[in-house]
Amino acid sequence: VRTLSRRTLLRGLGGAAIALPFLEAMLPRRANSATAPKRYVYTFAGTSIAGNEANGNLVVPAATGPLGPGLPQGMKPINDLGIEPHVSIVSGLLIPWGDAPIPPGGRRIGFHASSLCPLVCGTRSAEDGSEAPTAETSEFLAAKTLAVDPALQTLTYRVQPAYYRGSNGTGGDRGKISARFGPNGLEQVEPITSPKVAWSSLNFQPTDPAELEKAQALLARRKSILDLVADDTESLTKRLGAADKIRMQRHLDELRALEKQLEAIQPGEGACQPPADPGQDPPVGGAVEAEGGYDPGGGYASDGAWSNEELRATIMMELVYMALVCDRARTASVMFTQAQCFMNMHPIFGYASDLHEISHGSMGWADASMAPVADCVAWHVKHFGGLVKKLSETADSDGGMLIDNTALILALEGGHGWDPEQSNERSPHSTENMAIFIAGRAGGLNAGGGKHVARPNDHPVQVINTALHACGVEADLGEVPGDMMGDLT
Amino acid sequence: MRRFPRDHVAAVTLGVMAAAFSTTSCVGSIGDPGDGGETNGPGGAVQRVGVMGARRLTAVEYNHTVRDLLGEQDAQAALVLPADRRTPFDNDITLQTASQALIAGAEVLAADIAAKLVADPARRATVVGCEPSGPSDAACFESFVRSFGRRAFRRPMADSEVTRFGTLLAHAEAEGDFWVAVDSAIRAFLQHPSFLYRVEIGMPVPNQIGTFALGDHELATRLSYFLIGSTPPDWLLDEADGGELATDEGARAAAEKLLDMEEARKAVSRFHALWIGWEATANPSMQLETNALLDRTLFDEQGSFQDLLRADETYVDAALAEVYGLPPPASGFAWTPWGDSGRQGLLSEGSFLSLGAKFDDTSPTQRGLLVRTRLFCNEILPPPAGVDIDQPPMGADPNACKIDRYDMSTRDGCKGCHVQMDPIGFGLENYDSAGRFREFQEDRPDCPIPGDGKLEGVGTFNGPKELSDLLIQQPDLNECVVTHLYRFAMGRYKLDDADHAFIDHLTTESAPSGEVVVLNALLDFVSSPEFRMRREEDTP
Repeated sequence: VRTLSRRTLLRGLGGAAIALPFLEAMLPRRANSATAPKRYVYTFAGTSIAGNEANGNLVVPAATGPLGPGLPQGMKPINDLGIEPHVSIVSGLLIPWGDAPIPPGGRRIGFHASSLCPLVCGTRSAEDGSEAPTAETSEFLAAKTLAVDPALQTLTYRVQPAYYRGSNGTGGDRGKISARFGPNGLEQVEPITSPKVAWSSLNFQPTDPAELEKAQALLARRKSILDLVADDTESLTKRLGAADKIRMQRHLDELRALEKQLEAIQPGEGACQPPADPGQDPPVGGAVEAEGGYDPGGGYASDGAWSNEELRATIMMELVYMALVCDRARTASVMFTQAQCFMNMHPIFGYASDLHEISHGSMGWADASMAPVADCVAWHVKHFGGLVKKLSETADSDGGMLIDNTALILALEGGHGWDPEQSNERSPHSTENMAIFIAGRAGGLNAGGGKHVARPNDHPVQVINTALHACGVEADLGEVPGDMMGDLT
Repeated sequence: MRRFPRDHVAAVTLGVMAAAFSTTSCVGSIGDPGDGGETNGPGGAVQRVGVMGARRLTAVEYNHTVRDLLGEQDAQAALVLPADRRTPFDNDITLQTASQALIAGAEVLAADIAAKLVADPARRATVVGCEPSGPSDAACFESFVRSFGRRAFRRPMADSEVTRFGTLLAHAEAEGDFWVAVDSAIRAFLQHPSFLYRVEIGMPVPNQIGTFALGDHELATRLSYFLIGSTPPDWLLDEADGGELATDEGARAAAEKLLDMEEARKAVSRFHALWIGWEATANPSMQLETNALLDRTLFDEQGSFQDLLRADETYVDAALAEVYGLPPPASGFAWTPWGDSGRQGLLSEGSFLSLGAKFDDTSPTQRGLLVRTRLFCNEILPPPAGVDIDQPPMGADPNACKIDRYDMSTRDGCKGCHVQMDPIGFGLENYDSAGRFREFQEDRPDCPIPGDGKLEGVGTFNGPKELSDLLIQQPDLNECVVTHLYRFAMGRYKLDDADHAFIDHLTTESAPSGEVVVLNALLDFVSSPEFRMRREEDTP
């Protein structure tokens, strides 16, 4: 660890004098043009950076230093979008592993979904095999500093709506990257997977005066309906047994949160322009196993196991962008693809296979597996980069650009290298040689432009800590101390 | 409702084999039955009452409910609400957690459904039930709120609730349009906890702390969602109003009427699809085929689950017949004998054989796991650390035939579990994941498939017909069928001693002649005293 965080420093001083953090929420919302709020966005890709037996990868640049033209295949969208000044990649990272005990910030030896917990909350994965976060995740940690105002949402979106395997359900904990502390302790936060719901829940108001009048009338009606429902929920809660009371109280808390958000709704102005209603959601695709059926309409080549994630990602990232612009939210998480992702890549790249199988050589073994995996990584980078680009082109309330007050993370599920589960030297089931993208210019991030930084065997959460600290968050995430501010500013 | 007397059910020889399903280090039964013997005396039912809390409607239940309440045929709950996790059932209360995604989704759904209703003059007139004289017609609005509210909340509304809903009429007055109030009320009803949750409070059972007797409307709701997967029909609410469900006989009579509804067949079909697992994998033709078997066997013939396994014909069209190697029917779908195809019953159908595919092929391990967990309620421990289940088994020679590469059932450290699973799957290996017969491994004419299988401790078999014959003889099958039925009814996968005591009791009651007749089990279950009570959940 090369840089001590302020918290670590304070601990080192004996913890006697803890400075109160500066809270953005102490400032009036959207009122002070001299100090625009900071924003934090965490995104996740359910893929490693190379496939089975590959010799290297096509994601991380060969050399460290500034990012320029000719980035490798997995980062090509950064060139295409022209966002090199705003994005860095940190490589060579490592999540330690072990079983009984699992090291701090580490994962179980069994690979799948075991890196999810340390990557989203900085704590070791559960020893009992649970794949859920065991601590608060970074966007909710950030919200304690950046989004204390109850009118501000913390967005939790997932692009891939179904798991595409077995019962084709949600993926369970493999489809969740958010957790927060509630009245009863740590609770997982269900992501919104419907673009229609995501759009609706941001409550954008039209700018056209005639439309605005109608929208305001509808808003008033929604408030009164919600008020009725919330009051009745509160009355009902009092009559329930202990377990149902907890269940219904959580329902009520969510209703009250929505009420507060509606109370704070203001018409759009300036760059805050309501995005178009995305309409009905694309249909959700079926399970990959259906491919084996005799029905010629099923399977990868016919675009089964696909729910038009291309469109879903485009809409959701546009909504994240506009939520930041309109100050509906200052913190967000977006899970592009689930851990051990079985999303069909045929509609995007023509690969008649899913992301997970591609990483295991379904499109070719050994070094050939690098290119399809890099394409899959690039798909995530494209959508991540699209948000970065828009933020870099949008003025903020302090006269700068939104990107100047935002930090963004794109974390990848796995690296490439030693797999302790299979004793394999060149495996995607590895948390060696991990890479993580950090974008934005909050707190001086990427001040000298984007770069490739190698930090062999450091923890990827230190990059996340860097983004958090750049936004004014004092704490480190989970069990991983320290950041890389010195390398990334 | 017709029902065969219990002694009408054909007895089967129960060749109980002492070694059957012997517990190994990786296989066990779901749980011990507890001290069921002590619960059969007076008051025993109270000791068999299951835990129940406020269950949220699943996406499927939501869609069915708004269909029945509002005539809405195209609600998009599955797209808009957070997906229901499968256990394999979709209604596990322990996994239902309120979230921003739920609240936002419920609002979006409610708004869509309300808007469509008020835009449809015929449908809205039916739902509202009176002709408004103008935007501020309070009498008509109250009449609508009271009548619709009873159906939406599945109980009469309290006057105070009607009054609160009445305030929504102000929106109609403000906008000069009565239907704005109706739109508002529908939105409110569909977001209301009394609609979204099946709230059960009941009355405390004397001297039984934490046990409650359900109210009539709570019982009507429990009956209806279990048997038809939707909200109580008006006649059932009427019976609840009149206190007709308070006795075993009353509840049984209502259940018989529910089971005569077409929706009951669909609900039973869906239960099987979730239980066995083909909900997400079987294509529409296969689902139609299997639903026809369920309908005929369980409803028309009032048969047992074992009867599904012994069916000697199947319902196919030309395309499915080609897959199975059967002669095509003259037109459309028709019942066609399995003949000497080596097939018989449910396990020969594509719905079942499409399950457990992996690595672009059948997985003997997954098929065996399915039989163990779903048909015998065994629990198989997950693979230990160090086992990569994402790579096809390579065996000693990665180029060897599949049967040689799958050597886990003979290898030290693996065989304890795999011997319980893989030999089952290899007995079905002649049937690919579409259900098509094959003699050789795909693209490997040098790898013939013998199709010999073994149910460890029971016997050997070759193909789905012989496997079915072995399964039919296993007494444990009855209890497993009832266990899954109970889980589905109660919305909980994890069971405790009281649950197991009731399952034991119900299995005995419903299978006096050796096989659980599914309709009998349903009726015995819902007319039992245990069904009319709930036990308070422990707090987390």
